[in-house]
Amino acid sequence: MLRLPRFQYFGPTSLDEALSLLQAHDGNIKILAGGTDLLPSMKQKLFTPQYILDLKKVAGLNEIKNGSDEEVKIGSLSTLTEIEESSVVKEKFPALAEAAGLVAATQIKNMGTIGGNIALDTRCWFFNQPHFWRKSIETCLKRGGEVCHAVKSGKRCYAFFAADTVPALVALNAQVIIKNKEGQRRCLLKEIYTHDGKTPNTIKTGEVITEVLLPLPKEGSGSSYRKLRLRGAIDFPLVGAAAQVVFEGDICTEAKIVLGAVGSGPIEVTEAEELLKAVPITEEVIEEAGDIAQKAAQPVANTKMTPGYRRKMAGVFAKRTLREAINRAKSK
Amino acid sequence: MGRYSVIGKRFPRIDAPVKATGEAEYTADMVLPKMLFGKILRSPYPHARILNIDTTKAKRLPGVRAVITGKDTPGIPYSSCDYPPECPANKFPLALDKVRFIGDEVAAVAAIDEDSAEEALDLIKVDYEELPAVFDIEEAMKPDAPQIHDHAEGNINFGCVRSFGDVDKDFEKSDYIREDKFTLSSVAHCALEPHSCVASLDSSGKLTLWSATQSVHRVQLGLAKTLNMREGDIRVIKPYVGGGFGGKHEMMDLEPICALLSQKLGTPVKIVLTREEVFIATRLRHRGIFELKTGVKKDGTIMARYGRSVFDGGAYNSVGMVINIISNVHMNLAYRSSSVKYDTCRVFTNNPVSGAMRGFGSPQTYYAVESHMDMIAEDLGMDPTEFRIKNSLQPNSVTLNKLIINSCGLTECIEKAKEKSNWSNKRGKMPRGRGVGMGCGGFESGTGDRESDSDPYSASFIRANDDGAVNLLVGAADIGQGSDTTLCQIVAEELGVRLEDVKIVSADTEITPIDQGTFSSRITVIAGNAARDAATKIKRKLFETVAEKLEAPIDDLEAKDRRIYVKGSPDKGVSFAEAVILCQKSGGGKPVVSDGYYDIGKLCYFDVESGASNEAPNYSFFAHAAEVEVDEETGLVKVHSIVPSHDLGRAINPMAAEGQLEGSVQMGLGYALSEEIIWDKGKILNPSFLDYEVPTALDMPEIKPILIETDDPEGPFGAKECGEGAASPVAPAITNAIYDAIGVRIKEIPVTPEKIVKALEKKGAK
Repeated sequence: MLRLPRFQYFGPTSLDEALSLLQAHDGNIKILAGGTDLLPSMKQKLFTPQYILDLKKVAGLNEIKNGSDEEVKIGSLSTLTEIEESSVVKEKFPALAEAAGLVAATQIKNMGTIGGNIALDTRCWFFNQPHFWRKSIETCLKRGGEVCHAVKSGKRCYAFFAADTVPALVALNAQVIIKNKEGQRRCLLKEIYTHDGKTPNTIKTGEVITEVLLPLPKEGSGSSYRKLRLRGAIDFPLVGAAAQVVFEGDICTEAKIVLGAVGSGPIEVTEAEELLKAVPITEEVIEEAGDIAQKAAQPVANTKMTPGYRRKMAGVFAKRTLREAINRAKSK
Repeated sequence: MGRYSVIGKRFPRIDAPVKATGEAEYTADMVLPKMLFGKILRSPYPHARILNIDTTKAKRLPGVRAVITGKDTPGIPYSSCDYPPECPANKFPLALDKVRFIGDEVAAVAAIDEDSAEEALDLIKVDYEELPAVFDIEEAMKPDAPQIHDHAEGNINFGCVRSFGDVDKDFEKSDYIREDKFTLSSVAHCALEPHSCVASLDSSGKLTLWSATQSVHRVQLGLAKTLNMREGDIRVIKPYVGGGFGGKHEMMDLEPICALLSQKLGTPVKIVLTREEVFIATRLRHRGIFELKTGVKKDGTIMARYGRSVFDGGAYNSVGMVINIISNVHMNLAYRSSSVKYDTCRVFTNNPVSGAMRGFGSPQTYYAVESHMDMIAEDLGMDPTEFRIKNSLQPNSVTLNKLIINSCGLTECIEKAKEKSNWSNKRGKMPRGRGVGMGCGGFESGTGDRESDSDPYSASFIRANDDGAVNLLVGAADIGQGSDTTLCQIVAEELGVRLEDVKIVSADTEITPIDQGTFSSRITVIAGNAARDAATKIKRKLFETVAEKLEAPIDDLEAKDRRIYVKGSPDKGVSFAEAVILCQKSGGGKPVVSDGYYDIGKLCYFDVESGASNEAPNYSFFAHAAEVEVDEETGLVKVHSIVPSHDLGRAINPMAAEGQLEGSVQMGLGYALSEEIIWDKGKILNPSFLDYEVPTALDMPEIKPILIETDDPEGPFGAKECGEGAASPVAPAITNAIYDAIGVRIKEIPVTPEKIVKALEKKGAK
């Protein structure tokens, strides 16, 4: 098996201590949550940080609780299994429970965390390869080079955004709390994504995601997440599609459709969202929303199946997840 | 109460407890005093000349003990197949002057730990001169293609045309002729245990190598040749092995490299490949193309069959021509015809090396043949199973290429699979999106002949002990398929003792007798007959002693229930242990031992010129029925069930046989739908279990195995193979079922969802 490069390990027990260590070793330290993505990447020598900061011993970061009357708080160290199995999440935010449940496989879900999934690095099969493999190609943009092997004339990195939970969280209007030594910021989750494969989010090295905040769903709402993968387990999404709709009677007052894995960030299909709010929802409208989603998808040749197929499937999965969200909204 | 006491019983594996508890020691678990760790530097170029290698910096790294290159080797090439003479051995353990694929071995390091060894690899400076490379078989055969080996003109490793009967005449006589072309992908074995070995060469010059291998004997031969050593100075031991599937059946380069490092340092060295190295630098199943042309009469009688295949061999021989020779066998198994002609070749490219993989040649052949058979049946308006039954091989027959078929349950396999899959009520009768399909075939129980193979044997030693325990020594390698248990069952049955009375030692070249190893599904029949032969002989010795004591005719004796007694009078006899003591006493302490063997060469032959051969002592036959559901919008396929129906002659251990069928379904399922090496100019883009889509537990269908016992005259207790053949019919059964479900035919595996969606679009556009 590939070897893990040498590093020094920190296991702070308080957030304060963690933030101090992050500040002290800024630029040369990586955060370990579940480790399901970081450690394989380190074995491939994609990162060789001098220090690893393990957050698992920091108390209070893995709770799922009602924050106030308006929101549910999910600690960033909550595992994907805890989220998948949480009765609150299942009842109020089925899209998130489904997305967490569809990540990889049981063992990985038991380790992997929601914070880790939010901060998940983008992927590309010219990048996520072992050190010796990468010697057979020129250094790519994501590794600090100047070429893109997936998009030959590409001027930016097109690595794809592979997190399952994020499209669901964005559809559910999630916010995050990000802390550093100086203080904290609270923002809409979708705002942290850059849509550049090289540096997919704006979380800086001294910062830690501590909480995810989900506004309680309104009356008449429904949400859903669907994922295209070739196997029943293990695979990252080839397409991820989340939706949330809110109905007042027969009128859709709010709609979100968010795609994953078909671009370098979560893609909000705003044109389709506007369409759904403008007209009575019929099967034709859902089809049209799917067509819009298909056009919004921007997959490139950096993982399995051709971009053409994945784009088409973005439309199919957008429709399917939308139908399910509508069913859930209406069946309440 | 059946005829047998041990044969046909559902025994758990004898190695199950130690494997379940984790006590079983695999090669990678081994630790020897002063042991060092080896790592291999590989070529980053698909084709290049090595101008210079500078190891100075690497040697200076703390912890590094040795760095070796091609110059430190005897410079003798080795290939598992170097026959015929115009296809000589062409692989050096470490490249001498040229590299021919990304992953080719260039240098190796031994260090005090794996990290230091890995770090040292980065410090070896190799100057390469890049050469033009070729990755596509059609391109490689063009006159101006880069020449990969000096000895192989046009990059043809081996090519032949086999013709039996007059196909041209028979095509003329045919009422209907159909032609199809199929494309085959590369797939990987995915044995959970990576290739690994530990070498220890002491100052007397004696080399001991523990290796995760399917054949200790072949590794010993290969090491002796490429290291220029005497075979007797090399001891190869196989610890527990975590799967092989053909990927460990040859000597692999890590083995001589590990030995050379140990030789240089006088201390043990261990090399364990990473999963990525296993994908890139060991072996893959041959990809290629397969064209078929078949002529039939209106009533469905096959008149003429013509096949043409081109296989991508990758950069080196590996098993070379065997893919061509064996796929010719599979062209002739299963169905009768008035004539058959087969044109096949193996082409060198700058891709990683293709070699043996479960079913060797038959997954490719049967995917093409069985898809083609379905298409012909449809054109004729026949049910595909009726068309197959009409043409299927029959018992006590000889094929056009001279395979001697004694037992053959193909027709019964088809009928039983139909019944259990509810074929008649389902085929063509289910709602759109749902379908059933069938795939059939046959497979050789072992392979070998005296002409092309120097030693196609299995042998065994048995010692009976005075407590009634029996030691069985065999060279056959249990690589997880359970052959140790099977062989013990055979000996226990013959001697009338219990399974737990037989203690087996297998696959250690210094202790166990010659055996070619585990490949070509040969162990149950070939090594099984060898083990039974030794058991028969030792039984005879014991009977002689007991007959004398009981004053009974020797032919009246029977061995059963741990006793030897006069048939029909169990009281008139002695215990098995007493018999051993008596025998030992009467011989004045002479050990009660025997040897046994099975010479495949007495039945099997191979005519290099014509290609006529009898490949094996007997042949299994099989028919698998699959039921699938296709999501037409996404192209995703759910396989609901597979009925593998297998004529295995006799089930020595039905539970183990069913396990083989279940494993076959898993492998065939991947071959059909998801598994595929994805290429980019000689690079493998998915060399990991994350990106290489081997089916998971959640993808598995319901499996309803059927074991058909035809009691073959050449098999031990009537047995035939049940390990490799069954992996081949799964893919065509599934793809034929997909056709039944949605009416589109995809002639390229794997049938990915994308291909289904495209084919449906194309059909819709018409």
